[in-house]
Amino acid sequence: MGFSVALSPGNLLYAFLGSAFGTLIGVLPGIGPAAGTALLIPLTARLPPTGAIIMLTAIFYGTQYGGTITSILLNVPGEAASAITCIDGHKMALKGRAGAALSIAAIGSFIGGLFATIALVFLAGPLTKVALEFGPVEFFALMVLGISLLMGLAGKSMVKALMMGILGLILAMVGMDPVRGAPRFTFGRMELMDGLNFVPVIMGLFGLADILENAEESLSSTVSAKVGSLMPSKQEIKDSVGPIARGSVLGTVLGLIPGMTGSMASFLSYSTEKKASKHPEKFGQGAIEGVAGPETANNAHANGALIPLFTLGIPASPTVAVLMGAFLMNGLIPGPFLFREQPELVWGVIASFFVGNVILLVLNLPLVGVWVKMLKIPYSILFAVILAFMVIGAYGAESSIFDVFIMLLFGILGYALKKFDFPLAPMILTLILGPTMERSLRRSMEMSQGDFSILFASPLAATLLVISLVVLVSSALKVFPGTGKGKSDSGSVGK
Amino acid sequence: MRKSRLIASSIFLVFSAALMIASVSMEYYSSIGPGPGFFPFWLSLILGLLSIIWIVQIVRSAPASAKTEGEETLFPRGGGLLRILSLFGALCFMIAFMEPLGFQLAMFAFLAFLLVALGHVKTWMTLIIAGIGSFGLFRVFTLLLDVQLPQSAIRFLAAIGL
Repeated sequence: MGFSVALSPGNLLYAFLGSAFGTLIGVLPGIGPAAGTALLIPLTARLPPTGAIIMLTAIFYGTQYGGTITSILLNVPGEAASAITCIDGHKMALKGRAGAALSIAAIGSFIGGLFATIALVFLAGPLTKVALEFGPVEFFALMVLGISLLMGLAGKSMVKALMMGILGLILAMVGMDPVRGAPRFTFGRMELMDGLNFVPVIMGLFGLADILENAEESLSSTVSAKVGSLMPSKQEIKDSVGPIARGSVLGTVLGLIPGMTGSMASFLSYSTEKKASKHPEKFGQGAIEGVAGPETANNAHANGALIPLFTLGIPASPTVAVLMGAFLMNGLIPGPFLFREQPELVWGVIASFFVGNVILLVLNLPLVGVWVKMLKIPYSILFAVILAFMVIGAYGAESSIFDVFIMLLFGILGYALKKFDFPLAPMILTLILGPTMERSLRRSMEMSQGDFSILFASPLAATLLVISLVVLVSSALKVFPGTGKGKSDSGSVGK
Repeated sequence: MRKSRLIASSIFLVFSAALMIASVSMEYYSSIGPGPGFFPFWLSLILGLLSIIWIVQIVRSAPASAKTEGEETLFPRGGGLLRILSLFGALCFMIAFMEPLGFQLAMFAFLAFLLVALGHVKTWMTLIIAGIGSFGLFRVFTLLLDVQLPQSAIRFLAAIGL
């Protein structure tokens, strides 16, 4: 059923466009996958829901392929998950083996993507069956766990991660109260009655903030890069088999865990390969294993991160949260009920992952030269074009100039927060999950006539909440001086 | 840098206090459970507490020497600051003039300014890119993608399709 939907001419076109836009976003430095996906949401506004979701998911996993190209050729990661590829990928490029590195990365990404998609097919049934048994209490507990994991892993400063998570929840309160319909923090503006539109918020936080940061330096720069032969040697293929297999499993498993980002998957894969290698001294000198493992892992992660979204309705990363927002904009609530109510859409989208990965393999191997040409567009032109699309994207979602103002406001906020080393991911996740989370809690409270002990009456919910508490407490212990990272605020807090 | 952090953490503290005051005016609890003010109250309280923890962390962190303090700045100065303010100004212009002037004219001016002032792009190239980015994108989005972009509120400009 899924393939008949995914292979229809219209949906094939959407998968192709999504893959191409995704690769482009990945290739171009200065715009990450979250902002890029949000930026292109207005393009899908008039598409049928299946086509829109196929296109947006393809954009998401397409960015993982594209990010590799700049990492290898320019030593500049197109997106964070490909940062580790710079180490050995760029060294290979300097030795004239850029083509081989790109080929192995594309093949690894393809295999990793397929592996994670197959995992989704097999896990979808059991996970949705479990999720269908969930009531509002369990869903609330699950969301708390997801957010706790993300906060615990988000950065070096737990306080800042928590502050961002709370700020996101507060922003999610803007608009009509989901149970009583009372306006909250709307300042009398009609535009805020339905809450903050997440598209301009994300474009501001992730897109405009990056452009403002880049504007600190001169915006004039051009690049040149050579690819060479795309054919890897027999030894390079042999050396890549193990890393690709391990990267597929590692990326998929990490994709299932909220808070684990694509960059964590690629970093873990790199360190795993270095430990597993008989010649760890080759790492950093152009080892193909240092490209094959991380690139497989980050794409397996991107596809694996869709498993909790599709089966449980829980986004595992900021970009997946953007995708969840796109689902909601299309009137679709991701999660177990979607499998029951719209199986054709869900399986069509899942089948499109197979199709999309094939398209991406073609786009990234024989057509790699096209993307290299794109890199020759100077940033001094690129930033203006990106800004033009951002203005259209912010305005186009609701045809409202107020949303362009919101984008500007959150761009400045995001820029300032980045300056103070605040991680932005927890804010996005809680902003999108906030309304669902509040609704679940308040429904639970209604069921218990206001008795909070209902949260611990269900063994599953109680377990999830206890795990959340353990995650938060263990991370919070690092907050206080004398335990390590608490002193980070003297100036070395990471992102 | 320490001073900037203290200012930022104080802003968070004031913000959380303002939120808490606003949330008090909302219904906190009803017979069936939490009301509209329940979540905002507790969230603003937690944000306030976290802001205080951050302030304590900053105060307890080793103060930088006077020399380092002077050298380390979080925000740019000189050319960097000017570029950021120019970007901010250009976006403010778009917000103020996109509806009165219409998307095409406002975007043309916006792109032309960014490309010339910040990108130092040649005039002929600026005109081509600004033209495609304004008049071209307007047609692509309104005609092909059915995304509504504003036409000028000024009659004679609207009459000629701008």
